[in-house]
Amino acid sequence: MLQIACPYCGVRDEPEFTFGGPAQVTRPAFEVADAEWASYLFGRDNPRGVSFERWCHSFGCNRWFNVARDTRTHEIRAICAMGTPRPELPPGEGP
Amino acid sequence: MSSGPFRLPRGGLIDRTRSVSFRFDGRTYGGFAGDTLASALLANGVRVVGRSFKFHRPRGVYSAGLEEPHALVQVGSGVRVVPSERAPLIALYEGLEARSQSGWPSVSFDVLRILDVLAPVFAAGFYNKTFIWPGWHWYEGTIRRLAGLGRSPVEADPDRYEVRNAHCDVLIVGAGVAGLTAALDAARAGRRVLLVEQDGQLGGRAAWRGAAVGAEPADRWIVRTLAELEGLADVTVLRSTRAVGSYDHGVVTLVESARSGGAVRERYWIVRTAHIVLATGAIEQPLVFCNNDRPGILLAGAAQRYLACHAVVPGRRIVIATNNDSVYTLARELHGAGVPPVAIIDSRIDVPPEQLARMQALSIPVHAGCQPVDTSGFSALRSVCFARCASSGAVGDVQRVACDALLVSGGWNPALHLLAQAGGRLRYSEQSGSLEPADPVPGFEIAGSAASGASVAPIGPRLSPGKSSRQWVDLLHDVTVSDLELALRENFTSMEHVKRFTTVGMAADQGKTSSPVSLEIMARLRGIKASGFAPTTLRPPFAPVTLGAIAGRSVGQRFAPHRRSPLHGWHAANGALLEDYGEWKRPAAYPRAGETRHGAILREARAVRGGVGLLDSSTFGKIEVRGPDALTFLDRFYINNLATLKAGRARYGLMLRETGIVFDDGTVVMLAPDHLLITTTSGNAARVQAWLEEWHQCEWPQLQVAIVPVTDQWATLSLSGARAREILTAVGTDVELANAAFPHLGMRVGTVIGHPARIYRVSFTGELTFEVNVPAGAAQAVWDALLQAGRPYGLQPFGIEALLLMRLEKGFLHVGSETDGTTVPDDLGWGKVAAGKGADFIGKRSLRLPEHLRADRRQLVGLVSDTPIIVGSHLRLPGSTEPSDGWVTSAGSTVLTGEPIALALLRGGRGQMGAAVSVHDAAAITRAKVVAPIFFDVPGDRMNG
Repeated sequence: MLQIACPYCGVRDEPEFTFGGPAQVTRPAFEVADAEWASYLFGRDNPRGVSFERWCHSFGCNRWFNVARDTRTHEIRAICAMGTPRPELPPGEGP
Repeated sequence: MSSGPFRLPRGGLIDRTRSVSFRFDGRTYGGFAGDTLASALLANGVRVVGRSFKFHRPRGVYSAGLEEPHALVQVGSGVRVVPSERAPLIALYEGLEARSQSGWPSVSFDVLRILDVLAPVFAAGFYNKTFIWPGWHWYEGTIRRLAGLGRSPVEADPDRYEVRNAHCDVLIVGAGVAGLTAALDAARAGRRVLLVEQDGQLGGRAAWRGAAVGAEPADRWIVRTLAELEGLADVTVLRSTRAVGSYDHGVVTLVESARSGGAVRERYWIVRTAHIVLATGAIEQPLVFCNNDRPGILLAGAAQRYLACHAVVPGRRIVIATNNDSVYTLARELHGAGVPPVAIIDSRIDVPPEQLARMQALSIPVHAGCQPVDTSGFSALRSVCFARCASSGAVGDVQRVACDALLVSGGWNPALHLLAQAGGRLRYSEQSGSLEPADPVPGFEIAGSAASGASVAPIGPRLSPGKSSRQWVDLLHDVTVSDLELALRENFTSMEHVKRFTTVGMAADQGKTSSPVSLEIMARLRGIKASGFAPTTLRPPFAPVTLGAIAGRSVGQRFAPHRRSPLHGWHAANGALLEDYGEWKRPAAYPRAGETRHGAILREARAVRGGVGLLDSSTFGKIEVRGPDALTFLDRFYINNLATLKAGRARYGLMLRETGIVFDDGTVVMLAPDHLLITTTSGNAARVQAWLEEWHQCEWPQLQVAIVPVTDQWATLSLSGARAREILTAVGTDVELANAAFPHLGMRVGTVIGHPARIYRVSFTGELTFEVNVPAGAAQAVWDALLQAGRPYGLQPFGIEALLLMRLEKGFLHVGSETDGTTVPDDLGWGKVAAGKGADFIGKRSLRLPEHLRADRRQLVGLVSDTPIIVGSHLRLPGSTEPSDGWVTSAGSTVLTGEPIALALLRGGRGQMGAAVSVHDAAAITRAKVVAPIFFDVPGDRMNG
């Protein structure tokens, strides 16, 4: 059970949060080719190391924010509000 | 009553003034307070306590702890029967009733011992390779009965359980000398300390071994340390509590067993700690030789405990076999108790001289460099054969020694399960023959014998030469060395794969006595060093946990909250059949005296079709979206064009996921240009709200909107039927209800009997409908007033089932029935609407993916038939070669004429109008005709009227 520091409420236990998949995924324009759209829908990195992902404090303030989590240790390396730039961290290795 | 022939006249920590009688397999025995079931059985000379899992070999008590692989028994009776309890952990009490779990007709005479003779047939993988035709299910029942792992009680558990959360700075697992010392250090430093001990008493082995701690006798040291600990602030000591799981970010779960007579049977603790001290001790490992599983063979450390605590010896002619130093103290203690071992077999050539000298002084022969190679006896051990074994595999002259007990020690493996569960890697140590931490794990500290593996003297060989099919590695799951050999022949080389193929380490004891030795044997078979060979992953729980403990109080009524409409009390008091619809309790129907459920549904639906009815639809999700960008925002969620929506109007809409799959449906109502309200299906309200929030916060934060769920604030009373307008007029409203002033899909704000009301003209029945929304607090008053005013018109309440029947007749979509995880709008006949919307919306791009444009997709159609149609039936088109061309999604009969109708998703269905399809349910094959998915009032005059 992770402990996550909500940027608005402080440190809370994982059951208060909802995982929302990778952070900073750009929604492609309507005109893109099928393959690129399918990649946006279903293609996901599975890094060994730092994973940038979205979480929502669903049973608290209901706000979304970004988390940098190390998938090897579950260590949380950084937490930042939506819309702020990705922190400087070494990205994880590919699968 | 005698406390048994194997009880010594003196010694032990038992209370000889308090006799206890208990029953095992129907026979009555005697013991003392302070006994465990295992010690009392040993004292009484009960050799066979169980039958092995696969070969049904007789087995006896093997250990004195949780690692017990043989003495798994069924304890108690009736609702409090517990299967697979470890006999060494069961404190004896008056009237204890225990049964062995396998063997038929009994453990001492088991006809299934034939399986042992057939053992060569039952090698690893036998089940997977043999029982494949015609299918595993054919054999499963019989095999499960043969395997026998105890019986669960069938009645509901009458006991109470609790779940507790706790926080501490330091969690110390194990209250032996090392754990107590660590706790005292931390507590003196002012830290919040939680000390947990699986036994009922503290002190660990020191409490019964009579050793000294420093210069002080152990028992005095324990009492003094505990007194100081309990005097310090922020120290909690939990006895009879086992740490079972270790998770991310310092979470450890504990199971606390109640003291007898407590109100709570078990308490499940979820502890968050900054620092964990593992003072968990070590588990003694077995030796592997032919027929090393016979009753009378047990771990030496266990025998030491039974002698010291219970004054019980496992036999009168005892042989000890070892590969390390730990048994020599036991030999001396046995000598002191008047039962000196008849031989010690030590696999080391260079047994330390001081041990040899001590044994020589006691006239106990030590056979250095020798290993046991076989045993005899069936339901009781009769003799052990041993020989000098060279590392080359050469075996010297075999000597046989008669004995009735063989105590074995293959070294000690530290109990590092919690460390490994939290992600710590373990590595085999050639020196100690045990699994030790490969690298330090942040937040973990290891103390006492859990940490001392590397510091012990090198162990000798623990695997003897001999017939590998008779050498047991995993005693509980009957895995032998030959199974490991077969695994290698089948090319399984990773220990994880070997485990799954042979089931070594997969039994209820999770390999507590088999992990290191199976790794060692596999490494030897592969010709590699065991230290370079990764052991299997250890996962929670460390010991079995009851479901009751995990569930705590979240059972029955408290399992999940029920949501109730503000009119729930009225429904309950007026004969409603309240059923579960998702999280809601809703009236399915209001059966009258002597009326069936189906009869009530039909009567209610006919009342609406014939005149009028009143439905409580307060459960529909209601979400307000406010702000200058509210319409722009919502337009991005629906396949329908909302840009043209005007204040005072409502529009039906379908909402998709980004994949193009239908997510929800409902109406969008414009109260004012910057104030919209959407309705959702009852079950999806929270998901839709979260969906809107996610897109607003993550994708379109620049849009100025606020999203507010108001489902519980507004009650919805749906007055439906041709007479609805007259009744609403009669009850008193300031809203002009005439069709011209308030047409279908209109919305008006006003009052109803003085209460603020939002009235929508939307219809799910196909009849003229006014959905009267009033504040939840006014719901009862308005409901009562409507029923009162409707009396002259025969107004009666109707339930959700009548509503669903009427919507089926109209072919209206029910999300979750007509849709699944593959349904796109065109499948439902909404393709043109989606295609006609110019603006982008969530899921729009996905609708152009080739998969969603295939002509042979399943499409929504209607079915009519002479015979009732059963929901879920599969359909086949004439001449089809496919196993299925679709299925029935909703079924029923027309309200007024009772003809069977259904909605279905059918391959290329819109091109099959008029076709006769076959309808396949479990019992029969019938026929139906494909028609348009609407069976009543096709022009819609009734709801528009």
